Amino acid sequence: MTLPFEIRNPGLLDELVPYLVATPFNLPHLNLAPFGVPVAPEHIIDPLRLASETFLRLLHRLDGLTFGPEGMPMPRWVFFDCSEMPGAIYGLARPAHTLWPRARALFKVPDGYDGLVPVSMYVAIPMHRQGMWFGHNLSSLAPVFEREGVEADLRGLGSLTKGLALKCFGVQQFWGATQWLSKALHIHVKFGALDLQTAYTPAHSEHETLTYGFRVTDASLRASMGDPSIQLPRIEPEFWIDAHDVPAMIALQDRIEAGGRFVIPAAPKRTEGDGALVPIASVA
Amino acid sequence: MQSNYAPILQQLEPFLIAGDIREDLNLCPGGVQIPSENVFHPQHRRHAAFLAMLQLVDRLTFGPFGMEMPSWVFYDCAVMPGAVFGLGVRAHRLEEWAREAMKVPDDYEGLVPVSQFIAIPMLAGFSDPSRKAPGTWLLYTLESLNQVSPGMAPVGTLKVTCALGLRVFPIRELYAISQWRSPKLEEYVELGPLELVTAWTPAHSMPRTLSFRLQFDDIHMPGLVYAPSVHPASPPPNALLDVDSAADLQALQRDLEAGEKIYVVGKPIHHGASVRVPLYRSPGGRASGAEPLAAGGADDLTV
Repeated sequence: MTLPFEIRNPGLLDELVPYLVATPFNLPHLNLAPFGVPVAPEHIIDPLRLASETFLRLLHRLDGLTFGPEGMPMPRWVFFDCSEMPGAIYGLARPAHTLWPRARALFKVPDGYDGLVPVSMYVAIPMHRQGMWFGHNLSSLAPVFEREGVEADLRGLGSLTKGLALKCFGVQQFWGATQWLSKALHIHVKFGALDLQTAYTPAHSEHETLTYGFRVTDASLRASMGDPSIQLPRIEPEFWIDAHDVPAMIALQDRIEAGGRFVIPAAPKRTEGDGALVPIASVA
Repeated sequence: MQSNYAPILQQLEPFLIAGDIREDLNLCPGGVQIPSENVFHPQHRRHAAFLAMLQLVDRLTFGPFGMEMPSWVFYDCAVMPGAVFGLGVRAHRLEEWAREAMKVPDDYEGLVPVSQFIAIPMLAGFSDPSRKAPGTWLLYTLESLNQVSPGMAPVGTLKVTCALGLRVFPIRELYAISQWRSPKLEEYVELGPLELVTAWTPAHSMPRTLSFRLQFDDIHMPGLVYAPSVHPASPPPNALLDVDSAADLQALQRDLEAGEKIYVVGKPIHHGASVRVPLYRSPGGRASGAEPLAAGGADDLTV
């Protein structure tokens, strides 16, 4: 499979196949061939059926492998109540018989299972307007493989998955939440400047969470997947937030609550240790 | 609101937690106005104390099921896509034990939540291009502190919360998820015949979970609030389901997957150690997964 434009790691679509988890009542609202990359009918998983159990358990395992170390693995009921029922899950997978041996062990693939094993997934939840979605979970084996020393070229897997997923879901306005220190912020800014809705979020488990959003266009999706022909406009930062500086986050949140509008125009700069400086600009 | 429920609204106040979705919601459900000071923004720091107490309500009610909602799930999956309606009591009206149980800060004199109704949009709800707001919603959470601490709120709080919550959101079609042994199934069945979507749900943490849907036109508000019983249009049951039998639930699930229409049409019947749920299976359906009743339906329902 190929995309009609250049991406960072085209080999991913030679190695992996797309899958979609969606109920029969949500399925008609989804694009089954985002950017011309079709989801094979046999790779559409109905979460309401008994036969889907093993694949859904492997998805849960993927989430655990990705987020377990950060302490935010998703309970199974959250998958069902918050993802599969209201929205959908899109990702890339590999048939079990072609899986890397180390991955097979990490996933604890049951003996005799020869279906798909998911190596990435994107979960989003529809909001109150058509085309408006809240991003909920981006999981990718790429950092897990890096951590485990597995040799497989999964560069760009997270970005490719999110880009295709947003096209599949028909997202026009995206919202999401992430932590100031999260490396995923580097993926998110590939879609363009991020509107900031919160800078400090007491309703979230991690108060140092920011809520961000962007308008979704084909150009922003192509840019996110690494198409070098797309150059998104970037404005200059006016100041930087240290990803460890909670008082600065609270001060910015107070300005947002007072009506101020801000964006993250570009990727954070990594600093000593696990730190980061996140650029901020105000908008009219 | 029926006078026998009036004491609830004399003691409790409605509240709403909503962001931009507020414009789609009814802030005067059933003629009960939600005071502007009880409308909270999920992203504003000044409402953090109230949100923390709401999180505690969820922990107390769902924690024993292993299904406490982490705050990040509350944020991502509840208040960002949807909204929270509920009832609360002024802190000074709480007895000391209740204040301690709810960990109300000493200097806090605002509203303390005792129930909540959360609904979120479903993708299937965007079928009608003439409507701005979705018509299909998932009843994500319905809970009251009375479930774990009877006396914390007036009897009937859950029922009133459900009745008003259903009028807050622009619901035409409602989906919900419950556990077969949950007492809340008794509340849901008063809404109307529940069309089963799943009867055994391995995708969920608790496979003994059912999911169901009903059309809003089927929801019988007077039945829910005035004279709770079964929906007047519900067909009489023609089968009973043993909800503790995994084999029966799985068989029922297979029948659903084969295309059979099956409805929950009555309140769970408790007899000794058994719990049976009355079902209506559409004519021609197979009889696996539940005990068929003899001809005559409800008249033969003797346990």
